[in-house]
Amino acid sequence: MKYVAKKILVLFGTLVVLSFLVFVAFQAVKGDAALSQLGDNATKEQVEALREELGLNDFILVRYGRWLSGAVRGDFGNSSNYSMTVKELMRDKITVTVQLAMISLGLILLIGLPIGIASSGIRSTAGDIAAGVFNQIVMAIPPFFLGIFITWLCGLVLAWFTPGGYVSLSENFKEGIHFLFFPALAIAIPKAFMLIKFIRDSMAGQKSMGYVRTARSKGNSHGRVLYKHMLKNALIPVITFFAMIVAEVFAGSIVIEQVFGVPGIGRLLVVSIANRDFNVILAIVLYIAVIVLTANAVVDVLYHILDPRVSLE
Amino acid sequence: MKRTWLTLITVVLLFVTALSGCKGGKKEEETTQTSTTQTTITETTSKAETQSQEETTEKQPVYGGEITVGIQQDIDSLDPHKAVAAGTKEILFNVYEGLVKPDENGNLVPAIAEDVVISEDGCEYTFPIREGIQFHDGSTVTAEDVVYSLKRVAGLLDETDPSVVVDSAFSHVTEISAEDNVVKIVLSAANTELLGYLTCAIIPAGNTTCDKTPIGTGPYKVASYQALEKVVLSKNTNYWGEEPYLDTVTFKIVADSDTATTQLLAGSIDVYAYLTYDQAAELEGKFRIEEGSMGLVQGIFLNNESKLFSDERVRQAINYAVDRQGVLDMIANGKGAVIATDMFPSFGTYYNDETEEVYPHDPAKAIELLKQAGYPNGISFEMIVPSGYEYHINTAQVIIDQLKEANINVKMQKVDDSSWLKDVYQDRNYEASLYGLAAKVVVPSRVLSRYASTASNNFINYKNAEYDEILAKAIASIDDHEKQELYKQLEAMLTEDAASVYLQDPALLVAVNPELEGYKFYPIFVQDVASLHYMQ
Repeated sequence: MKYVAKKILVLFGTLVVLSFLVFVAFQAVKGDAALSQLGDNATKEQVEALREELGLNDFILVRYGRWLSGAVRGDFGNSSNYSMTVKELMRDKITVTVQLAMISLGLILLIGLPIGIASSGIRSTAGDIAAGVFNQIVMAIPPFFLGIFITWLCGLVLAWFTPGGYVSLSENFKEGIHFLFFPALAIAIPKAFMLIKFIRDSMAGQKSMGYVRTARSKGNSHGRVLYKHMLKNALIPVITFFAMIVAEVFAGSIVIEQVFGVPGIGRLLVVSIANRDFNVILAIVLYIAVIVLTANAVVDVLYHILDPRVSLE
Repeated sequence: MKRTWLTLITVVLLFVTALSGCKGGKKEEETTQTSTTQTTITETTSKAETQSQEETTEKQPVYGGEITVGIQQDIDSLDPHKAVAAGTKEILFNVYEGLVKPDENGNLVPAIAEDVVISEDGCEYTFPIREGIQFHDGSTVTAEDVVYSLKRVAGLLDETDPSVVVDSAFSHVTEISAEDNVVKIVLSAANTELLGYLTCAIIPAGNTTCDKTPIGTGPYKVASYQALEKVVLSKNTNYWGEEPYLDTVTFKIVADSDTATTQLLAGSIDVYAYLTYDQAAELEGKFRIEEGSMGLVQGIFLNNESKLFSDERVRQAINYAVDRQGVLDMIANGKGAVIATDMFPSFGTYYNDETEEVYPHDPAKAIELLKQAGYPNGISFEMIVPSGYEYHINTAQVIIDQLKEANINVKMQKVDDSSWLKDVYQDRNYEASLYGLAAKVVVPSRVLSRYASTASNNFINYKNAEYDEILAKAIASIDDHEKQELYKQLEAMLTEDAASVYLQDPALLVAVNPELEGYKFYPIFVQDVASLHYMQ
């Protein structure tokens, strides 16, 4: 209980500090919402009036105070670009990103875990090198290339899906999942291979441990030692790594969302930065921070469960 | 080694099973689903069959059907008086109408107004309102709605909303009133060009939440809008004018024109504008490529108050050093219209085509002029280019290459739109910028008044007392012939003074599903979907 309370406190503290830093950092960015809303024909007076209306002219601490007092009450202000509250806007886009993230994570686990574990028992110098090279290549593929390649191969050549045919899951669940599978695959492939590599490395690290030798000498079979004894220990660092992947995937893949036309957080971030839609940018940064911090907290708890010697305090 | 191969095969198998699992699902769906794209494709094939069967029978336009149009950027507001982006106006053209609206030839034709009467002194406009026009919500358009809408755009409402873009063209309006069914606008000074601005949308009186409840009178109404995704328009069955053909038109946001090309090929969009020449060539045969103009004056805008460009000779030198036709040949296979002044060739009688001859491609002359100006070793400067526009960046690269021939070294600096607005437009803190100024209304004074010495949008810092004088005279003139002559004079001055380096009105390449007919171009770029139809 004490642990949870402490974590929540740290979370809020981090968010407050972070939001302030974003506020300060944004001072250095050229242009503002009023200017980008009114475009290349506005008079100075019009821009000034809108700036006043949007409260952009106030001193930074005043603006921050105003924002913070709203935020603690759950009001993140309005989007200057869309005539919606930040909350309304974010709710829709987070839903999309979370859906995409869930499918991606499913694929990462589906591809990464079995292959990682199965292949970690197989060790030969030549095989390691071949697998390593293949792995490096897959991990090094830039996401946009993989996205375009999958669109071309699965969409145009094989016609397994319609590029740009995004439909929200609430509109048509089956079709929505069908479409999201492909961007999810583009997100999942490099990450799954990272996971495979990580599991293999972690398992290799366990090999020289004393308990492995003991287990062997007690007459356990190779497989039993591998999957019963080593795996549990090897998975501990893998969990940390997986938490990083989770955080990354939930933060929205800007490139993949752009290539496949998925209207999620990543695309919203790009558009909001271009329009200097500050409230939205801030909200997205905080959302990402919450994801990262939560993932870390969950890792701590999992550590504790897998290895009770790891204390939570 | 063998085992590693096994691993690899497992990976591949997993991948393939995952995909083929999906393939099976897709096949099933195809028979049941009724999404936009699928319907379109089915219709396409069935039509192709009909065509081959009865090739002798003449095809007729049919009512009904739906299409998806790809658009480049999200709309900035559904409120017609707040929307600034050209990409938004492009769509809202179908939803809202003004007292008058432009036709394909740039003429203004009565829309909500039944007729237009301008008093002889050009100071009073009267409009009888067309009887029985209904808004999308079913209410009848009254003179009161018209007065409200005009006052909103003119900034004359008691409660103003700073997001509403008040056009300075309305600054001479002293009175907007209605009597019975006739709306009257009184000006303090003659301005026959105000009519061009009266294309501004008429909305129901008191509808301050237009961006959430968009209600207009156009052939299509907004059925739904999802930010970052799409705007869906549905046919206005009570439309007063010619009945629109298609039932539903979806404007879908596509990240860039490469993605759009893929989506066209996959059949998820039917119409897409803003293709590059290469992309259009790739689509040739599968799509009908229609060519219009972007309605954009693209040029290298020079800050006339910067140290380097305060000298007219330097500005002229750059004008001689660029090869305008060469730019078009290089990046658009020769398509597009070469210009040398700030006016659109599509404005017809207001366009001075003699300006095109003033600066032939002559690098030697450019070097000579630079020498006279005190730069025997040439010059170098920084050119700001908005990073979001592939066409501008491609142009800039060709230009930079051309200018080297005349000892002019240019460094390109790419910035995003907001930074452009801050540095170039607002602070005028720049030397040169390659940019495109869009025609938003078919009004020549709108373009040329940018160069008035005190104009707040004169980011070029062009100052010429004689120009100001002629401009004022031209705006006040009520004789159209005289007006044309004065405008042409102004355009010639911009060329001779080398206010900037005007390059071209680029060609606009639009891919249209070959099953669709009736794509129209206007002098300002809008996507008029009311005339689009399938044939049978």
